[in-house]
Amino acid sequence: MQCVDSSQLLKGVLDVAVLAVLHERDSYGYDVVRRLREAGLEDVGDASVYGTLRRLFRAGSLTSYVVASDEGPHRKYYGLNSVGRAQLAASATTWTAFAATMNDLLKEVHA
Amino acid sequence: MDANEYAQAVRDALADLPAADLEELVEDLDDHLAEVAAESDVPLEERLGPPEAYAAELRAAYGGRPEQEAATARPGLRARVGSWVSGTAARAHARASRFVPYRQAAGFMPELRPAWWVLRGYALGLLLVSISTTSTQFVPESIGAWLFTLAAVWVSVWVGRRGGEGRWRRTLLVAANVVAGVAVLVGMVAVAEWNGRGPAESRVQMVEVGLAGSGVYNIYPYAKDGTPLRNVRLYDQDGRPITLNPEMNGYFIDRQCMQEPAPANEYPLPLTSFTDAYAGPPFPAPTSTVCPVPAPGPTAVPTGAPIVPRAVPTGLDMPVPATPEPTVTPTPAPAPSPSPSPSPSPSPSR
Repeated sequence: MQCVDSSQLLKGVLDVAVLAVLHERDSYGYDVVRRLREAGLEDVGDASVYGTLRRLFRAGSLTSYVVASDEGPHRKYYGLNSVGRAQLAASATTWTAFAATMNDLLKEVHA
Repeated sequence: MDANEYAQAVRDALADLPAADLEELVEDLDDHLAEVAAESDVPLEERLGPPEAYAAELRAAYGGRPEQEAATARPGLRARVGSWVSGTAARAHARASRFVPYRQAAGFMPELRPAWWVLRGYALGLLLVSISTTSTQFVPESIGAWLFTLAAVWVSVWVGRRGGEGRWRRTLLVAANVVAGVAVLVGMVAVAEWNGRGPAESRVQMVEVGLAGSGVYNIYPYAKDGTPLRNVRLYDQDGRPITLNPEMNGYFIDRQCMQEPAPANEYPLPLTSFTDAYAGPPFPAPTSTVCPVPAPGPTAVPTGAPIVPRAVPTGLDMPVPATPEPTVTPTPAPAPSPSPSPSPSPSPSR
């Protein structure tokens, strides 16, 4: 049996993680990557985050707007719209229940 | 490898994606990678891995079709040509995407889609109407045509919003788009041509006299001394050509008899009756058509001096027709004719 590797776990929850970061405040692509890493998801891949943002945007969960910057390239900011917020709320409920179940199951291991 | 080169390599690795997907996915990849690159001096390849791996991760996260789908079976020639074409197009698109105006244009193109749906429905609807009525219509010309065209627009928009799923539907859709595109182009060219020559003819308003019932379908002008006049152009007080409607009386203007096309207000009209032209021998020799021999021969002029036109108004305060230059100047016969000879040349009164 294969061990659970955190990058495999991450794939399942990257959407929620990205939505949660954007819920806090609007961000551009690389800023999302940085904030996820700061939050502790160090394995998160740049391409995965970029691809996830584009997919969520295509699915209509995000708004986007371009902010010109003086020194660097233009930044495309993403933010949640009502669809995204609803999606985040539903995912959060699912995740909380799932996490509680897993904690229960693994309680004995740590004890 | 700088950010642009890296982005290009990623695009190349994704070139097998449908062009629209690719465009969606890598829309702001350059800016994103530039941001990443700006953060540290470590080359992008070391931080992000090879572009191919980055592309694969992107593909997986975006949820596009897996790359292997096409690779498992050796694709047929058509598929290979197709993917080569779309790949080339995608690469061209990717290169052009470096230029901001192109990116902006490509960005708002999708927003114009609904406009195309409407235009497509209109074109296809009218095309069908035109075919079924065998009359070319650029605007629906009857209530039925309007309803049909509106229904076609509705269907087109409905189909557009639904999108094409399934191979056959996609093929049908492409075919419909091509037909509509050609119809729109042809229609535009036809309208442009029609516009080009329209005004010259249609700006000239005609005064039509001798409508059905009055029985007048030709005019034979004579000079005072009984000389029949030919090629006399008649105008009304506003300079509008005065025309008759010989078709209503069973005659048509026989263009065969003319050296060059004459305006419809040049009298006498060279008329041929329909019955002469069609009821005669199967092949009426062209010479047998009656060319303008004025019916009442000059000798037969009744003493009452017929239709002597009250020649062109002279000295009256009336707008003088712009063009009339009677080619035939009726030279009064040397016979001693009383002086006030009608001078047909319109002398400008002002």
